Amino acid sequence: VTDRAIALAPAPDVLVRHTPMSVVLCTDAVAEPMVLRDTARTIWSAFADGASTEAVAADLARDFQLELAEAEQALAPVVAELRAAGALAPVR
Amino acid sequence: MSSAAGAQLAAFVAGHGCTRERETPVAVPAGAWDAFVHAVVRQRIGGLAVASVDAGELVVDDAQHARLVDLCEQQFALDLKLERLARTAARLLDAAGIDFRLLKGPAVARLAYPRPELRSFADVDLLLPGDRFDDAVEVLCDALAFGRRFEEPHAGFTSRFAKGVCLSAGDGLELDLHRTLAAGPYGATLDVDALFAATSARVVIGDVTIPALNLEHAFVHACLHAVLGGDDRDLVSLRDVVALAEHGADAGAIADYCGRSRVGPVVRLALERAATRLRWAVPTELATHFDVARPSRFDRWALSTYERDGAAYAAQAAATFWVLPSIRDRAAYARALVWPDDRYLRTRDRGHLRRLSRSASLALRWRPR
Repeated sequence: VTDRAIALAPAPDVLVRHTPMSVVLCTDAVAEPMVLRDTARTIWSAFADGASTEAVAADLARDFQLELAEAEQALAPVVAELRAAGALAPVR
Repeated sequence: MSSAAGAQLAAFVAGHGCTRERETPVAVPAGAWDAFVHAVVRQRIGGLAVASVDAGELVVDDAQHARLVDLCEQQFALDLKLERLARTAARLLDAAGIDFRLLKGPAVARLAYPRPELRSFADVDLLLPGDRFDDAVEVLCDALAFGRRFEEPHAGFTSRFAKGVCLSAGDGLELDLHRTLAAGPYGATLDVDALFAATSARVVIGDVTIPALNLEHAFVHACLHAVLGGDDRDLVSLRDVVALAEHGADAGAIADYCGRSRVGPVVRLALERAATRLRWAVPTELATHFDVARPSRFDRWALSTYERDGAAYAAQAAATFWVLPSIRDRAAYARALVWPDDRYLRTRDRGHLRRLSRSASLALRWRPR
């Protein structure tokens, strides 16, 4: 489950391009850029707009009519992948 | 017919955002879609195509829109890998204390376009001072495991006379290191010192701030590339000309620099082409400055060496000899090209005598008339 206590934001060194349907991200930690579409794109955009992990989970729960715990579970792997890629980082 | 229609539509799309007469929305002509997509990919204008759709200038169906977005995703992935390479190269050169300027795509995308998505690119270009050129090549090749795509005729030739060198890696990414902004005679007449003496623009890529040419010098470079680049993929360079002009490049400063570097007629040609191909309304101040820059005898001769049909590289190399500033320069230049290192010679000519004969013939053929 996502650690709600940690505030996350796009890492300062992440490089980003937007299309009308997707976000393309590149960091030093990945060989190939990542393309985020649909829910992953929405999650990224929410973090880029300054939303907290808690708020992102609440939005997912509302949009997909899930329990908050279910939304947090769905969010966790996406956040883990973005953190592993160096795209999301804890806010100092 | 469909190929011409596709190319025409690509030029229309490349003009998105230019000051031009408002036009009614354009649909893709029947049978022209494939040619249009080919042109969008080849000219790297996917971002402008999608922006044209969003602005209601280009009408496409859902499947065509999805295809354009898909093309953008692929191109943007390459753009980002190249930006990452530019950032890494900038860090390495900074650490080595080597001054440089970021050129073309990654710089102009952030300096002169509303969003970087509107300007894609195929490689990373850096301008280096001649006296640190070889140091920079060594630093970048060592750290990035890049290699030269082509040998130079003689050690130190590139840092003194050539346009630059292309470095490449196994992953296909390319780093073009420039000593000057054009090949051939115009590259030799260009005032390169002024490009470093001027206050640089600053481009932020992720967490790194990178020096770039100022707007005026970047404008001149875009004009040189559009006219002298020897490539039919000129839409992006022409679009850069427009973006930089409309972003506040000072016409007087441009004219001053062009006068010192003898490239005014090249800029005039670029303005004419941007006006024709992108339907751009050239700002009055620029048009006034360059309307008088008619090609002289020197320009007609110099421009002829860049014509695409024929051996442009050999013609430019021969013509450069005649515009070098001193006898000493000409002697060193001729020595390197006429009697190159064996390794260079093996890839091009069968022997020194054949090379000598060919060089003499080229130098005579391309002497100023």
